[in-house]
Order: sequence, then C-alpha cells, then structure tokens
Amino acid sequence: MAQITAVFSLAEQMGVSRVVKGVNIPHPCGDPKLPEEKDRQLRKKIVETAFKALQTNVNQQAAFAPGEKDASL
Amino acid sequence: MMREAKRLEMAEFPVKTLRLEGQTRYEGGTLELNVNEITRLVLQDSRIETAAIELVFPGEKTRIYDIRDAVEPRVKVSGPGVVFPGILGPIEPVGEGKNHRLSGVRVIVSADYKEAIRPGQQYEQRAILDMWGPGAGASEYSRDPAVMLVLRLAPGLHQLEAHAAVQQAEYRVARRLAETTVGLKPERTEVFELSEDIPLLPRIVLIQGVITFAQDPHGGVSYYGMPLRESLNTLVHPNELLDGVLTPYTLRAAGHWPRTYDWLNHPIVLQLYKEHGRRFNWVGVILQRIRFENETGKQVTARNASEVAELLRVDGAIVARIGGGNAFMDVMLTVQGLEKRGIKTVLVSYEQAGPNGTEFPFIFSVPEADAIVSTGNTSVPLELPTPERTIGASDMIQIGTVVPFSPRSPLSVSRTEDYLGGADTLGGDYRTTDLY
Repeated sequence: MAQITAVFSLAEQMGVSRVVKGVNIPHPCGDPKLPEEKDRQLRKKIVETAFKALQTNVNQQAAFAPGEKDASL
Repeated sequence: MMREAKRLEMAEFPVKTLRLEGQTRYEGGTLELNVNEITRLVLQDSRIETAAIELVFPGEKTRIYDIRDAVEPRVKVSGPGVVFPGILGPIEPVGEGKNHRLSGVRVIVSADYKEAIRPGQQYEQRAILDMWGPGAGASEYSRDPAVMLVLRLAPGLHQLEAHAAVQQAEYRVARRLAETTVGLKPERTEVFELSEDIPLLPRIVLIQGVITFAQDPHGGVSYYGMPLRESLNTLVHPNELLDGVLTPYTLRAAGHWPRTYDWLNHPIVLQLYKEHGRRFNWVGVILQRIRFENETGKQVTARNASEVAELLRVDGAIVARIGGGNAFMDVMLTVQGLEKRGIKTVLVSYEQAGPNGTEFPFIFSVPEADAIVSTGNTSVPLELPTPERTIGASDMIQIGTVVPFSPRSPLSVSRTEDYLGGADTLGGDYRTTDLY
C-alpha cells in the first residue's frame, strides 16, 4: 500500500509503509496555483511516484518524494 | 525610564432582574430595556430588515435556534480606544483605562441568512440552545438570562456584509446596555495588570491556537476586526482580549467555535491573572494561527511558536486551541517543539472520543504531550426534548446538511457542531473525565 499525503507525520503515526509526498491537504495530487500544463506534469509525477513506491520492497516505513531521491522516514 | 504596565480596571454590574419595560436603564441590579429604542438602534443599519427583542431565562422550556453569536454588555468609560477596536471604533491601542461590564446577562443574536453559493466545507452554521433539561446541562449559555436579538437581513447580501450587519447589531446593543451603568457605582472592580516579575517564580505563557480558513472570505477569527489568515505567531497582551480584539465570524456558529462572549471572558486568561505574581509570572499570550495545509506549514508554525516562547524566556507553556483534526496536528507539533526546548507544556483540549468515550480522542499525538487537561468528550450526541416556546429568525431549524425540520420537535444534535457552548473549547466549564 502507498499513501499520497501532505501530512507525512500523520501517515507515519498511522504506520503507513510507503508515504508519497503530496502537495496540500485539500489537493494532495496537484497544485491549482500552477499553470494548467505545469499542474498536469506535477500530477503525473506524483502518481508515477506512487506507482514506483508500490513496486519497491520496503522493510521499514519509507517516504517517496516526487522529484527527489527516495528516503527512509 | 521604565514604561508603566498596561492597567485595565473592570467594573462589574451584576444583573439580577431583567425586564422589557420603561426606559433602557440599570438600577440596583435591575436592567430594563425599552424595546422601541433598542429596535430603532438595530434598524439604523439598512442591511437589517426586521428586528425583534425577546428575553430568555434559565429553566424555562425555551429553545433558541439560528444563533450566530453571543456577547457580554461591556463599554470603555475611560482610557484610549473602545471595546471592539476596529469594529466599533478606530484601531487604537487598547487594554488600558476602565471598562464597565454587565455580568449575569448576555446578548444572543439569531439571524436568518443563507449563502448564495456554499463555498466548500466553509458553510455557514447556526447553533441551537435549550434553556432547560439536558440541553441546559451541556452549555454554560443556558445558565444566565439573555436578551435575544432576532434579525431578518436584507436579501442578496454578500456573506461578509451579512456578518458585519449581525455583528454591528449585537455589539451596538451590548454597548448600549452597558452604557446604562455610566456614572454608577459598581458592585466590584477587578484590576488586570501584568505587573513586574516576582523573582524566583517560573515564567509562563499561554499559547492560544486559533483555527482559520485561509481561503475563506472571512477566516473565522478576527484580530482588531481583521480576519486572520496564514499568519504566524502574534504576541498579544491579555488585556487586549478583555477589550475584544478577538472576534469570531458570526455566520459560523458551531459548538467548537468560541463566540465573542468566550473571547471576552477567556477562562484561562482570567485564571492566569488570578495566579499571576503568586504561583508564576505570566508573560502574555501567543496567538497562534493553526490549520496549515501541509507538513511544511505545520512544522513552521510549531517551530515559530516555540521560538517566540523561548525568546520570552518562559519555563512553562499552556497550549489551548480551537479547531478540529487538521489544526490539531499543528498544536501537537507545537507541544513537541516546546518540550524539546525544555519548556514544560500543558495542553488543554476537548476530546472526540466516540459516543462511549472509549475511542482514541485525538487524531494525532506526540510522546512529548505528557500533560493534558481534558475539557470533556464532545462526541456524545445531545438528546433534546420538545420545547414549549421557540425563538429563531426562520421557521425551521437548519443545521449541517440535514433537511430543515420543525423547532418544536425532539432532536438529537452534535455538541461540537450544532449546540451553542456544546464544546468547552477554552476550559471554562466543569465537565470531568474518566481514565480508561
């Protein structure tokens, strides 16, 4: 299971194994402040990161940030 | 030269009898209201079409609904500024001089208003209050008589206009009632002053978390009439609260949103004043806007609040908050930040622990939150019987997303959402909690 969320510490407390860093609580999968095309790219990147997280074996809780190297929590 | 500390005298005039007759005046504990005069005062505002005045008393089988706000009659009789600066007068430094207050009576305003478009979750809310029965046990608002203002607003008002109309009406009436005591001798006078530190006593600060909605036309809480948005921490003199610098968005009246009365009589503020210079030195209030929309915002406000507290060289902090789950993360991270800096911290919060009180009461917690004062579980629904008399601006009770229903029926309501004073947000009531 992977969770896209803007509040990682809450996901961590809930014991989520793969945390994918989202944007904001009202809009985790995109940013309405961005121009439409940029927002589309960001949304795609976040969802792709979630797919990648699902395909990654994890032994402990791990955070996946779109556009960053994977990091353990 | 040392500047003198702000000193505010609060002269109290208790109301023991309340009547609608004669001239508007106060004498020997009796407050009389002239209905025509008060109505005319309210109708000076063209945004208000009709206004009715009613009285309600504890114990009578009366249900009030469409409630927007409640306020204590209070007026400044000397010193700079006015009570409710930025709303009833210019933005001047307040917290000094002398105020008169009528105790044991409130002005409660009921108004019908519906937003043309419901903006997401930030919809308007109206509260209910029963003056008797199980409802009376759930709220301190049922324990004193009140002057009811029942308002019908002009059609087509923008929500900020409707809010301002409701607020001006109730504050003006409250001021007018308090003005009846000008020149009279009070029953007692309290002095509020943050006097110099007593050596060796610990220094403490109150951190008041305030949820606001940054994207909403009115964030939910105003400071000097200015809605708070994504602000960081603000240091406030407690006397400013006693002069009404914090005011709520009147159109969102839920049990967990303190009303004007609660901010004017903030129970922790009043208690800290009683103990200041005896058990500790109180340094003031940090007003913390909470409910940031992502981890960064939450971490930043928590870090900033702890930093301000450390700069104030406090030994201890009391953290109180208004707001739900999202905002509560900011609060818990603040507790953590304070404790990590060696500042002993106590959290004051109500619980949402399920109908039996046995569920996990908070959505988020930190190990550093090891001293918590619970102000009760608000997840238990209130079962209210049928009233004999009803007072409301509209014909039907409209709460949440429920289909409007008759006020003359038994109901089951949420304390947190639908009931005036149903959630003891600031710790003024006397509910107790069992440990499980």
